[in-house]
Parts: sequence; structure tokens; C-alpha cells
Amino acid sequence: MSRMNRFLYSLADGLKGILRNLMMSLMSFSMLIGSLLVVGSLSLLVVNIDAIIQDLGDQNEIMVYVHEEYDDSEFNQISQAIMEAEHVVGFTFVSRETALEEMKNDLEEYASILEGMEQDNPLRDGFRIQVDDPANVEAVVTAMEGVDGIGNVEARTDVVESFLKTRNAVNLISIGLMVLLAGISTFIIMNTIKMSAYTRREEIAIMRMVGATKGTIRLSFVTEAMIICLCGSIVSFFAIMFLYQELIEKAFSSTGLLQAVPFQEVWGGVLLIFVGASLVIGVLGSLLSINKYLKV
Amino acid sequence: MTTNNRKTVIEFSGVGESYQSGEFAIRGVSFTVEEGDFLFICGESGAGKSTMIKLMTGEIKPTEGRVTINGYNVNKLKPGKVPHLRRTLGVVFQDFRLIKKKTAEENVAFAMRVLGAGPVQIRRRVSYVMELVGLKDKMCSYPTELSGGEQQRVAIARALVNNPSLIIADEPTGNLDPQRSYEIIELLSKINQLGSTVVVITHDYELLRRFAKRVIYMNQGSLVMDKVLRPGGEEAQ
Ligand SMILES: Nc1ncnc2c1ncn2[C@@H]1O[C@H](COP(=O)(O)OP(=O)(O)OP(=O)(O)O)[C@@H](O)[C@H]1O
Ligand SMILES: [Mg+2]
Repeated sequence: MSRMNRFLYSLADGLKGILRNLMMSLMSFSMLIGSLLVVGSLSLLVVNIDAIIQDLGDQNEIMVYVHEEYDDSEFNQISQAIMEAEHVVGFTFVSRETALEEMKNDLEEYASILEGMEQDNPLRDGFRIQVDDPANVEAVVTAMEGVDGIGNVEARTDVVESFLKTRNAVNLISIGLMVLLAGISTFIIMNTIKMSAYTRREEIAIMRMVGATKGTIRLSFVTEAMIICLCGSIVSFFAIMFLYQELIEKAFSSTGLLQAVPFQEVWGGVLLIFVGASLVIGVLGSLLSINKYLKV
Repeated sequence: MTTNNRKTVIEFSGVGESYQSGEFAIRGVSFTVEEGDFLFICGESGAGKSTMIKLMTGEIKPTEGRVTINGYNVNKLKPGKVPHLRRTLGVVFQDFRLIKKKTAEENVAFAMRVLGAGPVQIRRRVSYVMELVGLKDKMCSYPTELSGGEQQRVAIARALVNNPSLIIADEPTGNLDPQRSYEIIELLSKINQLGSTVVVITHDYELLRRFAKRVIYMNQGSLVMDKVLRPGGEEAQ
């Protein structure tokens, strides 16, 4: 009962505090929204790059071709080397005949060019190797090039690599920005609450005099910060939903090649991160700024 | 002086307080106040009267000796327990300390609200104490719309509203004219008769004479006199 009263009172006080301090509150509110939008956009970018890399999944396949002439013991040695190589999760033998069949299927329009190749197959026997992660393709390629009996190693690492590089760069930037923006937001929230505590310093003194606990006093300021932050995170969520669906998803599909990760698949994570981050910022900012008013 | 079974509300025994400077604001102060007592503390400026109040509210701890208030040992009181002590006290100051943005009623209600009381309970109790201090018709006035005497009555109502057993007033009449001062002490005296223990600090010897209660006289940090005055200003025994 008394707990409930206290909560409702602190809610009312929080709202009053926001109205009394409207300029600062609005500043915290917009700063938070700005930060969440920047960080949110970058995170969604990372999600999409990851999805593209995933789509290029067969890119973590490597083809290795053996020399034209080899005997059983050489074959065994090569299989052994592949099997023992790090990051290899599977491999299959592809005979030159199978390879030619696949090529014909892939290049249906050009079937005529490939006519007659059965008699003089230019392809070689080889292995198709699956690597655990696109990031490790490079390493496996290097390892395979060192194996005796392997003539040629093919991997489309360049594409994957450029995506990976972009992703890592974006990741780095977003982590840096996240730290920076979280710092700035916390700082502004701190000042907002400090201001609010200053305007209410007489009230705080009276609260202490009549025996309110520090917890009760803190609660009303933490509530004030949390109202600002919760509202900010919810507004940011709907803003990013709108921007994403209207701009990103449409831009992706207009290329005709790529499909953006649909918002329905990521909204839960986005909401969780927005609300979580803003609550942490709100609680941290208010607790850090109120302590000086709580001396006995 | 008296031997009966009343509870001891305030106990100072050999109390000294030196703040940071090392110089003692009070020293060797011993006295007890029992439930239902009315006590004046008087003395020159700087004699250490407010220091005694701060010790009673747990704002500071004694450097020497022992302070016990309403059963709380202030020497050993943990910061988390200070609010518990304060809920048994009602404190009134010379400068009223009302919140200017709140009406008289809201100021008094605020003291209950911060302790988590419910709205119905608050309305009932606030209405009762405002009646008691004679301000039933000024409930909706803001402090700036009230005279000094009326503001102090609101402050007293706020001190009373959580039903503390001990009321402590640090120069409650310091900002008031003689007639208003008299009325405020009369109100505190009435509250005392209703059962609360009351401690009042004052500079005003005229009030001491008119009310003829127990007086502790402080001089340069020492308790130099502790006696009950007879009406007319003469000492009882
Ligand atoms: N926070 C403090 N830090 C250091 N010294 C203090 C502090 N508060 C009071 N003192 C000193 O303690 C002594 C007693 O002060 P106190 O406020 O108790 O006097 P008082 O009797 O209430 O005086 P007044 O009648 O003027 O209110 C004074 O010499 C004062 O300078
Ligand atoms: Mg004083």
C-alpha cells in the first residue's frame, strides 16, 4: 500500500519535475532520440551486411584442383591434408566429369560451347571444401596452396572480404559512436536531473527532515529520468521503424537483387536495446547527479 | 527532580561536540527530558543551542558523551536508520522552511506523502492538524499569502502531522513580533498538553517568564542552569 503510494507519488513528482524543467527535459529527450537513431541505424546496417554475407554462404566454399596426374597415395595424402586443416568443416570429391556436368547446368545458354568437351575434358579432379566462417576462407586458401599435389585453389574471397571489411568498419564505428553518444546522453540527463534536484532542494531538505529514506528521495528523480528516457526510446523505436520500412527496405528492393532484412525480424531486438539502453542511461544519470543532495 | 515511570525521551550525558575546527561548540552537557515534558533552551548567540538540536535529529554525532533520543542511540545510529529516528520527531525552524510553490495544505500533506501515506488518510489528518493550529480557513493559501505567524503555524502543523512523540523548535519565534510569539508558544504548549514532548529554543526572556516552564540555560557551550520557573519569572525551588 505505502509502497504503491510512494511509486505513484514519485510518478507524479517526476512528471511535475519534467514540466517545471521543460527545456532541459526536452533537450535530454531529443539528445536521447538522436543517439538512439544513430546507433540504431548503424546496428541495422550491420545486421543487413551480415545477412548479405550469409546469403553469399557458398562463398565459404573453396575449390581445390589436383594436378592432372596423381596416384592413390597422393590422393590419400591430399584428402588427409584437407581433413586436418583448421576451419574445414567438410569436403567432397568432385570428379572432372561431375564438374563438367555442373558447369553445363550453370551455363545452360552456352551449352553449345561446351559441346564435345566430354571427349577432351579440360577440367581436373578436385575437392569442394566447406569452411566454417567466411572470415577464415583466406587462411584455408593459404593452407591449401601449400599442400603437395594441389595445383590450383579457387575462392571468391574478394567479395566476402570486402563485405567483411565493411561490416567490421561499421561495427567499429557504431561501437565508438555508441560509447560517445551514451556518454553525452548520460551527461545531459545528469544535468537535467541536477537542475531538477536544485530547483527542488528545499523539498529534498524537508523530505530528509521528516524522515524520508534516501531511497524514496532518489526514486522520484530516477522516475523523472526514466520517464524522459522511456518516452525517448519509444519515440525512437517508431521513428526508426518508419525510416527503415520507408527508406531502407524500399531502397533494397528497388535494386531487384537484394532484400533488406524485414523489420518484423528485428523489431524485438531493436526495442529491447532502445528501452534497455535508455533505462540504463536514465538510472545512471539520475543516480550520479542526485547523491550530492542526499547528505544526512 | 521527579521520580516516576515516564519514558525518557531525550538523554544527553556528558555530551561534547567539536565540529572540524577542534574547538568545542558544546561540552559536558547532561540533561534528560521525559515524556510529556516542556523544555525551553535559552542562551546567547553561539552558545551551542542549534548544535544540541542537530544532535537530537541525528544530523551530527557527538564527539564526546552519549545522546539518546526516543530510544535511538545517536552515537551508534547508522545513516540508514537516521530516517527512522526523524520519523519520531517534528522539527520547526525560525525561517519556517515552507515550500513556496505549495499551498499550506500541500505543505503539510507533503510530510505525510513522502512517507507513503495514502490520500484519504492524508486528507483526514491534515484537516485535523490544520484545525489544531487554527488555520482551517487558510488551507489553500500559499506561504506568500500568509503572515509570519501563520506560516509558522503551518510549519508546526507539518511537524505534527506524522504524529511524532517529540516536537523540537529552534527559535520558532525568532522572526515574529511579541504577540505572534506568545501565540506560537501557547500553541506549542497546547500541543504539549495533548501529550507531545516539546523542546523550544528561544532568546526571548519575556516568553520564559510568561510561560514559566523548565529552562536550560546555555553559556559558551556549557549548561549552566536547569530549573523550573514559577509564573512571574522566579525560580521554583
Ligand atoms: N557546521 C559548523 N561547523 C563548525 N562550527 C560550527 C558549525 N555550526 C556551528 N558551529 C559553531 O558552534 C558554535 C555554536 O553554534 P550554534 O549554532 O549551536 O549556536 P546557537 O546557540 O544556536 O546560536 P544562535 O543563537 O546564534 O543560533 C558556534 O561557535 C559556531 O560557530
Ligand atoms: Mg541557533
